[in-house]
Amino acid sequence: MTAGVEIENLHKSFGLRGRAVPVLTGLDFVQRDGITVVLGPSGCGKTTLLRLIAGMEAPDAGAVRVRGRTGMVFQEPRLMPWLTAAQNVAFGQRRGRCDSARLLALTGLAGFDDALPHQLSGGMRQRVALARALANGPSLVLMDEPFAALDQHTREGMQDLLLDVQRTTGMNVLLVTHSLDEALYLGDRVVVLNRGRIAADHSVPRTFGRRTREPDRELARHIRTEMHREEQ
Amino acid sequence: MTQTAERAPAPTQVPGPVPDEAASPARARPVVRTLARARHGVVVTLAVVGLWWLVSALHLRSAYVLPPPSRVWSSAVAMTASGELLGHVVTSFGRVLAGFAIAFLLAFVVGVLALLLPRLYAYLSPALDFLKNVPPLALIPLLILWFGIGETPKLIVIVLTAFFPMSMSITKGLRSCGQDLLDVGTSLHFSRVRTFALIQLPHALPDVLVGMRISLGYAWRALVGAEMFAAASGLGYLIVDAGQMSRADRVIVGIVAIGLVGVATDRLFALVVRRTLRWGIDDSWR
Repeated sequence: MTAGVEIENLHKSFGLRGRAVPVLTGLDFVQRDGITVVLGPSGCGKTTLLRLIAGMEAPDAGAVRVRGRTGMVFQEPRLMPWLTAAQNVAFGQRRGRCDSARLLALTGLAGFDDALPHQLSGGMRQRVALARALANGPSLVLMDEPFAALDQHTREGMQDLLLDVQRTTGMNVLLVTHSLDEALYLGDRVVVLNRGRIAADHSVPRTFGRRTREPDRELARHIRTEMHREEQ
Repeated sequence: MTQTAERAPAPTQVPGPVPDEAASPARARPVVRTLARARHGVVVTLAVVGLWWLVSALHLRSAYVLPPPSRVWSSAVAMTASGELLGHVVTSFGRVLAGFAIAFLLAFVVGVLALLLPRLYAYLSPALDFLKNVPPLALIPLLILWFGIGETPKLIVIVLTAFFPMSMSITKGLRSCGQDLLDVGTSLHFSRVRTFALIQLPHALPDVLVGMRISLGYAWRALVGAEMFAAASGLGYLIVDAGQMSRADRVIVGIVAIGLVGVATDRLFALVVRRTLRWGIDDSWR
């Protein structure tokens, strides 16, 4: 699937006590196929960038061009508490156009169709949220620190699930995180965002195409230095 | 709340409650639960009637002021057998339902207005605040002057009484939907109408139903006041008429009938709500 996000000279600021606080300052970005991770410290504008791409915010200046359908996974599952897992997956889709059972099975929740959100654990709710994001057959899934609220064990399981789903569906992913380990494990490409701009852009090398939880120390040190340098 | 282990094998059905919860009275079968609750009511009723009988038997109050339970029972049986009591109940019930339905429609419209057109609602809000603080009974002389002595003044009193709790609750429910859920709609490119119908309205449902339940009780309480003026039937009329005839036994029958019908309506409403709301807020409807 061809990813379809192009961003040119993007500016966005928010009002705080009567003055404008710039968040994104002239950001340029083109999405490539695969999993792109936007990495940056808290408050650097990662979530704002995703919200602009998803159309939840309007830019002050610049252009955001999105081609094709997108799905969105938030930091919290944000499921409708009055709907079952299957109904949440099909939420907003035309009747009969969404195979909830297949998507729940794809995300490891076969048999939980009739479960209400409060009957599921945090990780399971986030799986439902991922299935919901896949319901309209998106070419790009936007993920806003989707595993940040989970414990380490669950988080690693969800990361592997995401990789499985990405391989199965061929979807492209734009994921933001503040975790360097997560970025290097998941990302085919890691974009470092700081002070409202892209500070660095790395392709993550894979030995024989395999991912490892032991990241390339040299690359990790290099990215950390770049992030640190930007903050000074 | 039942939490399921993250790596649990896929079940054939949704996991049920944990054993501790299963053993608790709250999870007992509905019939057993209802009987357990009814037991408390029966004990209190027997205590009150017993005390009443004792006061009557010892002649601490004259039978003219406080008739014995036996006389009230005889009156109730006679009024039921003649169909008089049922006639009053049906008339009052009709008035309450009509007033309640009109109040709900108005409250819902005001709630939607507050959500979708807040600038227009800002003009309406001071008038509503003013009316909210005026007891509907205080309007009765004016209402009779304007609308005569027919059904309209009675209906307006019930509507005004039932409207405000419902309006506040519906408005609060519709306006309190969090941005987190609204963002989901935005990410799915929902129109304003779809956001309202699929997110804000279902989110507001618990508040809407709480407001309806409170207002239903208020509507019953307003009934006597509404039927005090120029009515020829209804439980309020029964009480006022019996009072003027110094028939305390019939007054008590009327009061008990209002209470019983009110409780029955409330429990029926709660039952419907419990069946409707499944997402873990059952406790507030017991």
